[in-house]
Amino acid sequence: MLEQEKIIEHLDTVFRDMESRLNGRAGSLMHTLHKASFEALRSTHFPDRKHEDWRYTPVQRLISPKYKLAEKKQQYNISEIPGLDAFKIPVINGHVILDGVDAALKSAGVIIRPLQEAMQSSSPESISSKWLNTAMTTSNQAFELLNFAFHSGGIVIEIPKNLSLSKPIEIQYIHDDPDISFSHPLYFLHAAEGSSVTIIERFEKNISSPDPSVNSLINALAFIHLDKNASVKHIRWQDLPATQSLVYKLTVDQNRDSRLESFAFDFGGELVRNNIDIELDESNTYTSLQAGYLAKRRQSFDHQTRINHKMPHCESHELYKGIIDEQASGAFNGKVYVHPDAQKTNAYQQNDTLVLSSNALMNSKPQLEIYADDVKCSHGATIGQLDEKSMFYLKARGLDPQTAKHMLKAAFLAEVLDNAPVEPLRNYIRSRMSLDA
Amino acid sequence: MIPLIKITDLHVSIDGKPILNGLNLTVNKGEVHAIMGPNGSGKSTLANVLAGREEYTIESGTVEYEGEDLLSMDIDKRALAGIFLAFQYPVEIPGVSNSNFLKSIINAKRTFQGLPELNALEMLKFIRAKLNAIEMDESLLKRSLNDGFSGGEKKRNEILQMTLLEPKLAILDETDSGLDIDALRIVAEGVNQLRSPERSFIVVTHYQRLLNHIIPDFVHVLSNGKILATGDRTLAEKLEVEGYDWIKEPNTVSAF
Repeated sequence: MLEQEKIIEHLDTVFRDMESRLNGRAGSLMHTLHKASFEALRSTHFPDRKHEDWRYTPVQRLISPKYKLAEKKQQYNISEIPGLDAFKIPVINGHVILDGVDAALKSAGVIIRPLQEAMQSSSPESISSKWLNTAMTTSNQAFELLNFAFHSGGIVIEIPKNLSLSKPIEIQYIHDDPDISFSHPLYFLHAAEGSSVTIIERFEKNISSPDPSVNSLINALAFIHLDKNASVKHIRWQDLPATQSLVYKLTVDQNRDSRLESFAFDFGGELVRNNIDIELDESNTYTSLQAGYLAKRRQSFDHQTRINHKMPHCESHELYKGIIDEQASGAFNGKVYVHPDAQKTNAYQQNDTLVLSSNALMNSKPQLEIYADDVKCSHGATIGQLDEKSMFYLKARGLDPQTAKHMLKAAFLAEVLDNAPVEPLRNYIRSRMSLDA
Repeated sequence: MIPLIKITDLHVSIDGKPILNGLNLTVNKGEVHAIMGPNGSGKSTLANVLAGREEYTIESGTVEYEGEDLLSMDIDKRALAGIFLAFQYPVEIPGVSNSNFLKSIINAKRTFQGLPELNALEMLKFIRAKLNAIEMDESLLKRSLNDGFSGGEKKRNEILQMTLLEPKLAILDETDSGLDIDALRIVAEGVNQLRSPERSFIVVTHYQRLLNHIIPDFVHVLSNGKILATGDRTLAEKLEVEGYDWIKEPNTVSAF
């Protein structure tokens, strides 16, 4: 059972402690928003298993009444991805390390600002401030509000009109604190009309620190806004230490003729909750969501997607492939809403899972609600084991069972991995997979 | 000299249904044995049991390979010890690239033999040389293993693997099925190039036509899970003309 009151009481202490360190910045716009979000959180219960969307995530293991805010930290060391040339943005314990932000990003034409600054420069055309303001003042989601109440700034990335960024942007998230702690990173990406960008989010460990022995939570938010004819490729790669959990939410809105491809690869961490929320505000958009995950131990990976088709001629594809082994569990819930005006919608959803142990568990739930009559929508789900004939074939060529098994697991995830952009990252993920054999 | 493989009174069933009923077969080094027989006689079962397929139950009997108990060996250990099964229906595995697969099986073999693994360049050179011999298109290396391969391409890929692994005992399970005459010739040439005094073959086939290209030393006729007749290649020719019906009782025909 979740002890809601105990948790709120504890968060109240954490919040007051945070306020005491504001040093004269009390009353700032950011502080006002923090306060408003915390007040909203007070009256919003954390979801428990009775909540349909949270049936398969053990929230009581996620939200501890002992969390403190992870301390600000400048020193970090993240493993290199061989051959990857990207504009780096380090985010340690929820704080963007501004000194570490690749200066070349600005010379490439990208506008990058701390959230605070972006929101205060209240230029009317500033989509980010308007948009975030709305998000922060209307959210009724507990984890989202938790982030809005406790985040330490965040960052706004604006890709100007018609700019095609030659290199990917790589946000590196690390949570490194010796205490039971949480951190709340937040970014907003605005891809202006006709622009194109690839953004990588890496959740990994600080390789200079020992693996943490206590539990911690990264509660991350990402917002991506695509203007007319913009194209965003997004890859989230997560290989956190076994004591760390991740609640992640990506919120996207897409304008006319825009194109989003989002990939998620989860290998590490303890509990991982991946929420993706896509609003298709205008017509002729393309959205592709794909994920590959490998859960072992007592890991729990829960993917929740919601695609809101509001206008005609939009296309969305989802392909979620996971391997659930040992005592791990997985969940996929794919919601697709097709509104009455969204004629000629083309929506396809597929969730395939290999369940490799009798103690492993997968719940797959497609959920299509269609209120238009001229649409193409389909969904499918499969749950199975490694193919015996394939195993025999590989072993009959002299491969030991372990190698054969690994080869088939990798092959299962290859369909998604091969679709992902950024070859060095693909190779990195592939080599990381081989360690899991 | 101990035989390469000696099968004695082998009884095998699947789901309680007997398939092999006291099969005896001895293959010495360098020999090519053809196993012929009508559908359902147990030919493919024999091939698969030797490779270690797990759905079959060994009821009784022994199989000695180089003097050792083959039936207690794991599938991969049998392969490393030199047994190669060319599959009747090679499995398609999307997501495993053919070239990576070939590299893995070559290096698994080399590691077993105590040899250093081949690096990428040596590997490519090694594989290319063998590809040309069986007129196989190099583009098939980049594809997923057998995925979407034509019948002929799959069989060539089997022969390629056999050529790369240089087994002591190659078992060809109806390798001729589904092949046109040109593909059949190429596959047979691949086999003939590998023939040596050190290597033996068990060629399982329904039709005699493959044996026009791969000349066997012995032809055995399998029926109801037993070898009913043994002869030289003329036995295969007789079967082609007269069919299987005339063989009813064991040992009614012997060329020796």
